[in-house]
Amino acid sequence: MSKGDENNILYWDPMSDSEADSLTSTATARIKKDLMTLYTDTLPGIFAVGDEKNLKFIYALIIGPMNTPYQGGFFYFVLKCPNDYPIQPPRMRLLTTDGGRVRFNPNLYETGKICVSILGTWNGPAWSPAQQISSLLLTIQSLLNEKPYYNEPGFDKVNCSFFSRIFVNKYIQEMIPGDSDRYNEIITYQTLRVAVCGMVENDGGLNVPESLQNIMKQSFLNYYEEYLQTVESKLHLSGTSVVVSNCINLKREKRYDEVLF
Amino acid sequence: MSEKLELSGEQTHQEGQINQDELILQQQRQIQQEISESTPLVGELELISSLNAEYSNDEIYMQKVKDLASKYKFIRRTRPDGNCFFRGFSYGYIEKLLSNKNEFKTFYTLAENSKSSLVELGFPQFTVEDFYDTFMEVLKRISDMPTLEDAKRELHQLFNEQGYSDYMVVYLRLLTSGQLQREKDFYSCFIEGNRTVIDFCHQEVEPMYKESDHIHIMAACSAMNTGVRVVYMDRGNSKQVTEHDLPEGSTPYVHLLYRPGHYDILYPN
Repeated sequence: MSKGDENNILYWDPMSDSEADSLTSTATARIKKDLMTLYTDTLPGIFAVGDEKNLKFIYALIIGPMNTPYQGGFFYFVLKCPNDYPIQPPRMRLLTTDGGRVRFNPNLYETGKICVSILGTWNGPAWSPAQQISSLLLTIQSLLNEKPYYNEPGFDKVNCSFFSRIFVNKYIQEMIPGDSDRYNEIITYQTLRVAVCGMVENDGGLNVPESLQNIMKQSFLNYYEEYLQTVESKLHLSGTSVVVSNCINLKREKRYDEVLF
Repeated sequence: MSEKLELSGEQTHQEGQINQDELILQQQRQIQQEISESTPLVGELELISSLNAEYSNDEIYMQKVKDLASKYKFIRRTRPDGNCFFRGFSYGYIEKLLSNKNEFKTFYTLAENSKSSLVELGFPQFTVEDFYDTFMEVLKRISDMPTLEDAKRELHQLFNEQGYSDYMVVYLRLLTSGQLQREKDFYSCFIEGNRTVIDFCHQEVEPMYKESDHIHIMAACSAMNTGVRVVYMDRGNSKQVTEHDLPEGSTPYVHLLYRPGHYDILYPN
């Protein structure tokens, strides 16, 4: 890292990485092995492909698990392995953000930054060289859970000023009663709008590799009934407005009747 | 219905806050980088008296260096990157083994059998394999050298090649983690807080750059079937350095100098 990079806070971003491409031979072999395990020991809802032109890049698709507000959503990530991988973790970024407008999760910022300790972007257990791309993707998938409102970092600093973490975890509370459910309503809506329709129609103009595009198209058909059910069960919310993120104060009218019909 | 959510997640995300955290992390990375560039992973042999330069105006430390010099002849410095115990210990141990063919052979067999025991503990075969292969390659390359001099030169060279050196550290960290997990009932009493042995391994042992404590040293020694003498040197009032043999009662095979936060290798008179 040169002196000029001191204020570069994009150290996590695979897209603004200035490291020269010179993978060590062990890193090259290891990246290939990591990809191979993803093909041989497939994980439900997790798909990844390498980049034929530059082995450092890996493209991943995580499908939102059933019975969560992310259900059936397509979350597309770009990873970039450092030259000394797996000594250091990859850089990783979420690209399903409606062009930087939607924060899908307390840990998944609208900038695409992913706050988890194994990526070095949050406190806690660090990356270990014994981990691999599939274990990293599983960790990210676990963020897409039933009640994302309670994920760290949302609760770490806000409520922890006087109590230890363990204490707070026992007595964790919503800021305003009902917040968690309201948060889920927003995420459900944004998942359908951005992570389902937006991804299938490629609203963001993303260069998703063809094999992952095909997985999205096929999965869209498989999930279609579930999408419809969700929309129908939320139709009563049509026309309500939400503050999507208080950082950008984007007001958006929820129009469930327009999402899929 | 109009909703305005004050999502707690968003509050920690305010720009001022995030920049603070980011900058601290950024600065840590930068410091680490600077240290890396200025210190070799494992240095050359230096006389104990070379420590005097670091403490030229400090009576307490000068006194202790003097005491140290009465027991030890050389010091070999290691890069202070949080891996110094693992790097220094494995270097010192292998170097010592080189002068005794039988002991080296016994260790080689122990190392050869170590991978399967890690896999049995649930470490993924293929991630362990890379580090194991490199570890064995280093041992083999060194033992294939025609003379002791050549072997020591090869050891020094491999330990100063980042790729090899870091893989040695990783594998020793995994062996240490394996040892802790195999004897978790014993080690659990040394772990503070509510952490399980497995949590501790994930948080403090397996990740690179995490500093080592007594418990790491005990487990690493048990895994390698050896003992370490740690010589403590700090600003405490006694005139002498203090010695701890780990595991307790073992015969020290490798000697390490500990100054708060850092380990270097020592060579007895």
